[in-house]
Amino acid sequence: MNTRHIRSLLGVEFRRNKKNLLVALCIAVVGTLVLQVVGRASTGTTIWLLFVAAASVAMGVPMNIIKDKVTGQMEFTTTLPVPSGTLVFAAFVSIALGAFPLAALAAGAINWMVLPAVGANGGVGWLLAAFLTVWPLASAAMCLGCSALIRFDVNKLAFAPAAFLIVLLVVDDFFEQWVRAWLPTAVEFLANSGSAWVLGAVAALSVPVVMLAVASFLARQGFERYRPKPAAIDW
Amino acid sequence: MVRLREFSVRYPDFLLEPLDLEFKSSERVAIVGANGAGKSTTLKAIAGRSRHYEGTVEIGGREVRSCLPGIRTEIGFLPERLLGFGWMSVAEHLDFLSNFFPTWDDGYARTLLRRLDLPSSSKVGTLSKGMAVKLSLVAAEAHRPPILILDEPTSGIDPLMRGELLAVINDAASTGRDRLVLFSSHILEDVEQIADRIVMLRKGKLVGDTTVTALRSRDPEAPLSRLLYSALSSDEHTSHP
Repeated sequence: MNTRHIRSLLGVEFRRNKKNLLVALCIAVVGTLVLQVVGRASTGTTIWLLFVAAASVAMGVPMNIIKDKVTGQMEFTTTLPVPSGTLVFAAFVSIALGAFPLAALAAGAINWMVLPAVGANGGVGWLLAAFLTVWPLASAAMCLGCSALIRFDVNKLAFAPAAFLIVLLVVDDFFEQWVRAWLPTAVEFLANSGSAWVLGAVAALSVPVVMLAVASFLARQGFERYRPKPAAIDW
Repeated sequence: MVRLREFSVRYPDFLLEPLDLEFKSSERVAIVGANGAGKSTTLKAIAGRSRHYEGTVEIGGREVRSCLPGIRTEIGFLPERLLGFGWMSVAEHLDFLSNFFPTWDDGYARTLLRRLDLPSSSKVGTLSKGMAVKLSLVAAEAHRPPILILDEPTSGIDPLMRGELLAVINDAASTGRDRLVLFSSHILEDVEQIADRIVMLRKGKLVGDTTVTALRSRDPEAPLSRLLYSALSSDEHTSHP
């Protein structure tokens, strides 16, 4: 892969997401200030606010993909003299970087809120482990989602977020109960066994690797087969 | 240099019948025909912008699809509509592209911008149709490709801008004897100014392939555009004499 090509593509993604970063920063700073002023600042509301800000950063690349497909501008990048693998690599790196704040927050929430809730004491080791599990997993999941956006017709995928929300509502209670029952056992198991860490690491790594492999395959196909629709919006 | 063998394209509402054509370096070929004749489809395939065709398109003996995407560095392509990020300035757009073409000549790009009176600080998304075509031409030409392909370069442009563009295209076509220039147009006056060979398409069918000289010899007094019009609308196949 040509590093100059990757640098240029990453540079474009960074510039496109600069506005998102600023918006996220404003949400975090202004939101915290407003909460302080109205006397509603609590750990819960602050974390919620930071999650919203981090999520808006993470959504930058997927939103750009949708925009490029709808406007037909994806043709610009797909007709550059670069292999589709380079386009995929640059897109996935952008996604991973965008997911960084969200993963860091999630790791913090796991360490300081979830673990104490199930009777375990967090620490730097747990924080790091949580981050190294959540970041690749969140990045890989987002890459998979984005690759579906690249490969398939965006209109046909419009049902996906709605379906996800419905599933979430239906399984929410069940999921919470399952986590409450399963997490303490897993934490205890990890805390008391050295080899369990290796097992956990392998499991935590293999899931994102499989997801990334599928995502890479789909995204490459999507870039190679992309044809702008005649009805694509012209800016 | 470029050879099409049994080249055909089939869409649900369009069929480009098999074409067998050969273009030599140093030729200036106009592909003419009405809208929907198959001009853009053919040019896109030669430019390595489309894989969806039957038969083969060879450049220097290599099938284009098997050499993608690298072969695109050897082709300058001006598409029907400008491709790029609307938020970039003209200078940023060209700077971005320069990273992908090893033979990109920054000085030449600046010269073309000046000559076409294209402000480098303008945002790509705010350019008028004429300005967008100018930028596309600079982007296609700045890496001095051996094959320059222009898809409807002067369509929908005012006469003044058309004149400027045609002058630049003519100069670009003259630099380097081994350069192939392929362009499509339904403005027959443009063909008269640039081309030395004319390929005529009608409703997805090749109806003529001749030289400007051969066409002129039919009636030396008549304007070429009139001769072309009658050749295009006639049922006879027009070929090299």
